[in-house]
Order: sequence, then C-alpha cells, then structure tokens
Amino acid sequence: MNNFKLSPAASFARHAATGIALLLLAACATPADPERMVATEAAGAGFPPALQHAVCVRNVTGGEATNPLWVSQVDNAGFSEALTNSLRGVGLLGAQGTCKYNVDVDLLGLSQPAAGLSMEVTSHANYKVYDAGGKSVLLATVSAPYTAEFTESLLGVERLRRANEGAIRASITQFLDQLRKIKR
Amino acid sequence: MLLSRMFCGRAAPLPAVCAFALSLAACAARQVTPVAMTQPTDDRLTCSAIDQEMKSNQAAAAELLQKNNEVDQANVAKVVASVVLSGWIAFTVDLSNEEKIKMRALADRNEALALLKTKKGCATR
Repeated sequence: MNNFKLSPAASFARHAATGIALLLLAACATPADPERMVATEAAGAGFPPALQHAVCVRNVTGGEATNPLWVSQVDNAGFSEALTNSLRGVGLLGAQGTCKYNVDVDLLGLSQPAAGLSMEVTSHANYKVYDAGGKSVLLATVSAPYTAEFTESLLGVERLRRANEGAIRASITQFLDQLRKIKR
Repeated sequence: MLLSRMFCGRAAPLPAVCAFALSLAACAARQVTPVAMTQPTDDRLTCSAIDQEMKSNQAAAAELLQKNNEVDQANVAKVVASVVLSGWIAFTVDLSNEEKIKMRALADRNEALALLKTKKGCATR
C-alpha cells in the first residue's frame, strides 16, 4: 500500500522518541492514594469507651496539591479521607452532628529526599483533639518515617508516592496509639 | 546506601557506581525536628514565661519564613540549571521542607501556649 520506508536510523530514533515520551508520561507525579494511607488496626482495641463512635475529623490543613511536573504530595482531602476511614476501622468514628470529640490536623509537612534507590519520607503532623466544649483533650506532635524500598516500584516518582503514603499511614497509627492513652 | 552496599563492598568496585551511590546518599532529606505542641514542663510555666516564649516563637517563625522563601527560590534556580546545564543539579534540590515544618510547628506551639494561658487564668493582652 505504501512504499514509504524509514531508514534503520530514523526508525530507531522514532522508537526511542516514543519510548522517552512514554517514560516521561509514566514519570508524572500523582497525588497520594487515600486508601493506601489508612491505618488498619483491630476495631476497639484498647481505646477508651468514651471515644467509641464519638470522634469526627473536623479540619485538615497544611496539605499540598500535587503538581504532575514536580513531586507527589498529600492534600488535605486525601489525608482527611484516610484519617476518617482509619477512625471508622477502629470503631471510633462518630456520626456527623453527634460528635463528642473533634480532630483538627495540621500537616506540618513531608520531608522528602530529592532522589534515591530506597526513599525515606518523614511526615510531621500536629493532631488536636477537642471535646464538645472546645477543651483540648489531646495535642500531639507526630513525626513518622517510612522507607519505600527499590523493590516497591522501579519508578522514582512512584516510589516517592509510596513513601509519602507510608509516612502518613505511620503517622495515623501513632495518633491512634496516643488516643489509646487518653484517660476518659 | 543500598547501592553503595551492593556495589562498593565488592572486591572490584566500579568507581563510577560508587560515586553515583554516594551522590544518591547525599539526596536524602535533612532530619527535621519540629517543636512539639506540648512540653513536659508546660505546667510549671508562669504567665510571663509563656508570653516570653510566644514572643520568641513569633520572631523565630518570621525568620524561618524568610529562609523558606530563600530555599524555594534556590530550588527553582536549581531546576532551571538542571534543564539548561546538567540533570545532576536536580539532585541538590532541597525537598526537606525544614523551614516550613518548623514554622508551622511554632505557630501551633503558640496556639497551645494560648490555651495554656487561658487554663492558667493569665491576663490576656
């Protein structure tokens, strides 16, 4: 049908360009997945009875939207969803409007590496729990590291996203541990 | 670290691989320790000590804001330089967010100190 043929060099260049374009597309940064940030623990394990089905997530601040041309980040909505689902999982989440305790979170930031084979990210967050009267019940500063090994993903941007998600998951786990210590 | 362990410990190490591994090790984020919202000694703070700490926190936060802007500008310059000159420069971008983390932590610490002032019945200015 068509006699037009590329020279071997041109053909190679075309395939190389396609490959590079695909790699660049695959290398675009994507935001953290809330489901991967959920802390999974046994329901009700060791939590004060007063907190059962009585805790709501009110405000999350400090998160950042992901710029696809830069690095993966954790946004407020994603963090809020992960924390809400974590609280639901352990039986602490209260129905909206009937919450006895409200949680505000200030995501101070993520300490990320610029590059690496195994990437360690540390999340820093302040968790503030208030009772219905506005009195602080818990003010906790949590720094939680997570290392995404090379085996988790070959792509650096993906590995960094996994490290972010792991660091937030570890942070929520530490927060749940602190909730267990509240005397109520 | 992993790469340096994998390659640098061998009998016939490749200098280039070791250099690469070392350069990657230098890419790790700086260790950041934000000030905690509450301190074990908070109950012993007097009202004037609380005021003093709040004031010094504000000054430190303002300084960190300035530094944070400088780091952001340096990062932009490094990214541009990595495109124009060499991709290796991108590895020196600072993503530790140290200044931002410490600055926000100081703001939250002051929020906790304000609550402490109310709890202790300190006069509000």
